[in-house]
Amino acid sequence: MPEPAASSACDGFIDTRTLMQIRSLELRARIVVQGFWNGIHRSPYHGFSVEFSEYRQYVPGDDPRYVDWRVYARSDRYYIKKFEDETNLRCHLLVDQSRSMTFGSGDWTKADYAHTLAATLAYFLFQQGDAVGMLSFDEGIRDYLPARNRPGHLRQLMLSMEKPAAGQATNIAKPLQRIVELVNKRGLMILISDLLAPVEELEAKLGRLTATGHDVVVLRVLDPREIDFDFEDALLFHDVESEKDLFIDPAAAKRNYLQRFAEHGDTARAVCSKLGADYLQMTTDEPLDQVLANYLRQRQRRGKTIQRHANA
Amino acid sequence: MSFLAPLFLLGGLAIAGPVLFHLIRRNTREKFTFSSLIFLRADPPKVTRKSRLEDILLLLVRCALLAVMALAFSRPFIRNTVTAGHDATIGQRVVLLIDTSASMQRAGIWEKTLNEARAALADVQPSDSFSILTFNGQTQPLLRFDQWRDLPEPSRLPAAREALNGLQPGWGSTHLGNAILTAAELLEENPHTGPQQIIALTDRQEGAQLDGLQGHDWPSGLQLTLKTIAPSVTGNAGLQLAHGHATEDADSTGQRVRVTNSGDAGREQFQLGWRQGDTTHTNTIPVYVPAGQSRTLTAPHRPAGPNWQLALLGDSEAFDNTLHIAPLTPEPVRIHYLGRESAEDTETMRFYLERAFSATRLQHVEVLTHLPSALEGKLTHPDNRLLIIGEPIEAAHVDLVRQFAESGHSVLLALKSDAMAGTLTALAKSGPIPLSEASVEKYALLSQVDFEHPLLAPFNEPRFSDFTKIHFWKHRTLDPARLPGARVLARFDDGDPALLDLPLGRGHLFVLTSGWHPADSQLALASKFVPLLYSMLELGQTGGRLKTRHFVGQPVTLPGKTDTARTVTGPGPDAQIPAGQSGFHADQPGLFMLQGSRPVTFAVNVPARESRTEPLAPERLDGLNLPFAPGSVEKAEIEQNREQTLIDEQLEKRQKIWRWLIVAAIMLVLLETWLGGWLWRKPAAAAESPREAT
Repeated sequence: MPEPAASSACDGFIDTRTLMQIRSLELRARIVVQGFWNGIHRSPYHGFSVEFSEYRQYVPGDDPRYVDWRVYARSDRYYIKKFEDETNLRCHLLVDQSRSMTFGSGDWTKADYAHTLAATLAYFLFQQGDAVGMLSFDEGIRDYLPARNRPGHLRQLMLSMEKPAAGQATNIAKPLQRIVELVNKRGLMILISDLLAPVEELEAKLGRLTATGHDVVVLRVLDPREIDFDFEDALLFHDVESEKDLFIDPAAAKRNYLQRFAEHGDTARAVCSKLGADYLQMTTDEPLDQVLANYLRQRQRRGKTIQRHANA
Repeated sequence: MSFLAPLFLLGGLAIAGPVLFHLIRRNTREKFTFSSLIFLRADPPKVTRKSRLEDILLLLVRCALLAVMALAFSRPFIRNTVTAGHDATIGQRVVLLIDTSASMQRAGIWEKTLNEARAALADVQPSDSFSILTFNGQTQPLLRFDQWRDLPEPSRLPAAREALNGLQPGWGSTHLGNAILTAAELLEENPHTGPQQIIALTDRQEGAQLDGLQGHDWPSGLQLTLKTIAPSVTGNAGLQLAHGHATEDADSTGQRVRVTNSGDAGREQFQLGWRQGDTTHTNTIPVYVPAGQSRTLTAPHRPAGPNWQLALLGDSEAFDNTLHIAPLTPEPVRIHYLGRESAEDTETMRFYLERAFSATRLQHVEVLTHLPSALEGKLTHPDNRLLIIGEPIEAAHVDLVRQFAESGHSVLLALKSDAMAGTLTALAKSGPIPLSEASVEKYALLSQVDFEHPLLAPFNEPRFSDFTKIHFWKHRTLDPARLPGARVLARFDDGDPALLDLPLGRGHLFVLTSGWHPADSQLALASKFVPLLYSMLELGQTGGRLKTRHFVGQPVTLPGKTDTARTVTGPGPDAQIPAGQSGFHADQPGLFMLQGSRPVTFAVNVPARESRTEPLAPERLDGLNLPFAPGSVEKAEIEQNREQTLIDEQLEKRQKIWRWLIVAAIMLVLLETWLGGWLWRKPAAAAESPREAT
């Protein structure tokens, strides 16, 4: 069985195999971010994390929770601390934890890759002072961490991502629906999934997200063998999600598979394009920093900016 | 090919293991877990049909390995069938033993027994010698070898069949051991070169006696065939006396009886009652006896009137369900006392003697006192047992007394005074025996009591042997050396003899050197006095005495004098007992009466062992090393199996096929290892070769 082609360090990017051998997800994310930082030279989010805060004289009716007692001790005046939340960007990572993500033809699975990707993004955004939240899902919602930028929150994110994928099926519509209900402030939504599910509902739910003003990015993680389907002998294929077995001669089924797989990918891409969402497909053998750097450059070139939303 | 441990062949079933593993392995290896099948269509590959089993050669080697191992462990050998036969021209001698015990009366047995006997007769060849013996407690010839030989050949078989026709089962016990030994001795009497055979037709019941068979040296060539005749209905309950006498008086509180039920019985509920004739039952009580157990209980009261028999109702086999109980009549006993004393004088020996005996159920003791001069004609009554002399007797009566003693009775001479010396001298017929009054300081005690003597044997137990509480104030002194043949049974503590036994003919002359009146001793007041007198009565009994129980086939010792011929009447024909004999054999149960001046009734019952009708365990026969013939039931079951096993073990040890099988197994292990490794390396090498090429 051919393994995913490992990129070498001489390319200027981090070797994926070496990266995946690091057990700590946070360390993995830090390494990727460093390379990625070097790669883009200039952060597209530069200046977004300028802290903004304001004090206002307390008036009856204000929530006494927000009285700044240190100012009171100093000046004997009641001040309300406003805009204490210094976050500029609220980003939610929607990570697929379904069982299909456990497939991996190499030494790591799609889930490992997706977790590293999510952790990298979280770390990167956290470094910039943005609030990062996470929602993992399979056929239902598994974990939800609201977007925050407090000390320790990143650690919680990492721990949540380190949980193994244990879900059964993939249902993208449900988490999208739920995140719309949970997050009322506009922000960045990054969906990391293999999208190995019917795309019909994807359109409706993604449309709702973009309609509420969220900036949506779909990162599709795939295994090289899912794309190439390079099997030779007749095999009994076992579906990890549905537990069904199918005895297939790959030589005969490959063509049909590739066609249907490409159709599915094209449909998903078309849906995203139509809704104004970014769509990026990556395979687990690609260096993460390279993929991210390319994407960001591409995004910069398109002149697309991430909207900032100051809290009211 | 045969196997010493064929159970190990089951190990061959382990072959299923490799077959299964080869199938499972194929499935697991070909299964590939994929992320999603939504883009795949069910499109099974069109492949040419081939076995689902892979690596068939390896599988075959593994299966062969297991099969060879199982074969080796089952220790195979090749049996050489050697059949022994005998020369048909030499006739064989056959003794047919037919069980005629009471248990053969059970339903269906006797008919089958006769059929078996006729079948045995049908196998007889003209050159054979044949004899028929019947047995129960005793073994009786029905057709002897010499009778068979003397008959002309055409009439031998009809004569034997004729003898069988009149045969019926009796009431005796089953002494199978005696019967087989008798038959074997019969065969040994005339040495014979041909085969000899004993065919025993018996119900082989648990109660059969096998004494004498253990360790018997059986002649070579003798073969025993035990043919077990089974009843049409299994199970039997029996009724026996538990203890006590087989007699009952009118006001008795009831007889203790035992009801047994055989282990193969199907019934547990019975009734115990009195029967008169065949139909009348009364005073019945229910009895519950589980199979294989027994119950001892008190029989219900006997109704008034004659000919009542205790019966167990509800059992299908009737031969042992009746218990005959003779009515009890106390035995009259006479004691003669010679003395001049007054009957009411408490200072006399007579006073205490007459009060020593009370009437019992078994004995009615009568004490007759006579003047010493009036002894003439008093000692002839058959109930006389004991003569006690307390006064000097006349010389004319000395011979009478001696005759009385010599006929088997007891005579007690109490030396109340020195004046008795003459009587002692006369009775002992010895030289003069000086008798003098002993000087006793305060009192004398008995010591050196001879408990070995039959008179004192009843006291030979620690709780009865204490004579030290009897004080003797006075006693006489004599020299025992003056009494030739006398045995000193007890001495006083001063060394003087207290009680002597001088045997006279069949009887005894006991000499007590003191008296039991208060002036002489406390003997009359002691607890030893009455048992001592009863012990003398026992020794004075001349005729035989009826035992407490009598069984069919066992001799009954008749009581009374044997000087004349007597008649015993019973349920069968009258039996004449010749003069001089006291033994009687009852051939059936029932009440018998010894006719005479004083008729005695006694009951004879079926032996208790005969009620144990469950089949005898084969293990008991196995331990006797009987010369069973091949084909007889027991031989096939036990002996033949054991012998065959021994032969097989020897054969197997000699051939040692297992060694070659183990060698083959080792070779197969090596082959399997090499083949497995080769097959394992083959795909790996195939996978590496393209990699190296790139």
